[in-house]
Amino acid sequence: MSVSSETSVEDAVICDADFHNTVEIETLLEYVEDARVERKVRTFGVPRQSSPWSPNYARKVEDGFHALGRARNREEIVEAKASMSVDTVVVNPNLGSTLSASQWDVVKTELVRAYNTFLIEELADPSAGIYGTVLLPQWDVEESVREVRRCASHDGVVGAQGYYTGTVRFGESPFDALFDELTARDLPLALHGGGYSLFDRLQTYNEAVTFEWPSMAIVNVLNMIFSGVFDAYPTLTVLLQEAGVNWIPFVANRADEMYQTGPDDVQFTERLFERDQTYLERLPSEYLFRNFYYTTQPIALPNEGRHAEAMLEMCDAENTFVFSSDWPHSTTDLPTWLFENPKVSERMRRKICHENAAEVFGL
Amino acid sequence: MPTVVLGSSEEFPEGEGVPVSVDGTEIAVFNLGGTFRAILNNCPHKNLPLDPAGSHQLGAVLGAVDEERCTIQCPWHNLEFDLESGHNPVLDRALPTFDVTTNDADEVVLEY
Repeated sequence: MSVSSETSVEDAVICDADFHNTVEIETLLEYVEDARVERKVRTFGVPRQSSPWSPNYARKVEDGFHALGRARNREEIVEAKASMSVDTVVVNPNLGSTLSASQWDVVKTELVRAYNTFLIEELADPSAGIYGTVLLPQWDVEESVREVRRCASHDGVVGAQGYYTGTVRFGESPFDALFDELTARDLPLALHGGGYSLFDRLQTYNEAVTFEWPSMAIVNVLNMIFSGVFDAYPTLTVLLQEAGVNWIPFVANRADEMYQTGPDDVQFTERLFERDQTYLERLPSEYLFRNFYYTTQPIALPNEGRHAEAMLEMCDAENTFVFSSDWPHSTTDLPTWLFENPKVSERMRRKICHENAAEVFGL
Repeated sequence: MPTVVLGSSEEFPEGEGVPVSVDGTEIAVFNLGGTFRAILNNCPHKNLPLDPAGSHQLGAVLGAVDEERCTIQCPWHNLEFDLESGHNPVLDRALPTFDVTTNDADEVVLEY
């Protein structure tokens, strides 16, 4: 990417690493090959997310998932990114989040295949600034590897898309087959929130959306670190999407503190046990800042300037943050905050706006 | 009270907002069924402009303009403001509002 003036949203080069396209059922069905799945989905729709929450109870809008519109094809994606002065998007569909927390694995796998075909045949277009991540049927690692092999050679595919949910643990060793494939291809693993299922007895959607996704992300981050994923795959890059960022300093410091207090059970995790490895090769926080990147939405920086500055520094934002909008959801962050907050330096802005994304995705 | 002519009323479509700048102050003017209201064009939630409220984008209406209740919802995250008082009940604070009239030439005139 070339760099011009970076002083305004309009002039800056901006890549959005968490942009949601909409896939309508009729479009998806064009790519479904299995007749049984096609009939069932045509009649009853995509398997519904098993969530106890109706977000609309917390909002004044009827459809918060599409509060800013629907981008169903290349032309609409181009229009949407122009509305935010964004140059490049890495799309992942609402569909993926839904499927990550719903039932009927065979149906879901077929729908994931259908979406990926749609992505590479109709959507991804580097010349239009549209890239995508290949959806992983993460409930079936072998099939996930097959999907990566089938789609990754398309030049618009820049990563693999999984979802941190209440039930998945990406540190478990069956995922090694996926990590083998991704590291061999130098592809990042993007992980987005999916479903709400970690905690019972919450009373409001605000509790769920504020806390559940960061919590599920943290569970998976620590699971991957302490089970030695990054010792086995030191070049694996994970992009956490919509997980929040303000927890990073706490987790870094607490994980290091705990690890030094009680490091002796990491050897009994499956991967390290097989490697005959007693301890991690690094402190937990080092993996947090070496192997992970974090998309910025929801940024939720402190209002007080010195606190915001400290937060950005403690997160190593310049080297770990990747801009994201979450368009078109009612929680969308526009890139304006990067240009208005005096604690964001020009260098930090440039890196967050596009340089870190270029590094993660190899753009 | 000084006044400024903002333009012909035809330039202010019903149910939508129009951004104007008056002596460096950014203002959103809304046409509510022929009655005009104006409010500071800046939502304090995320420091974003209010004037796109009621506009259409890719099949969605951004925010909302409610003529009957004389309110708008921020086009980005739906915080609601009373256009007469500027009040938002969640924050319990008010944005500045401005008196707007029309003159005999059917022009929209803002007092500030």
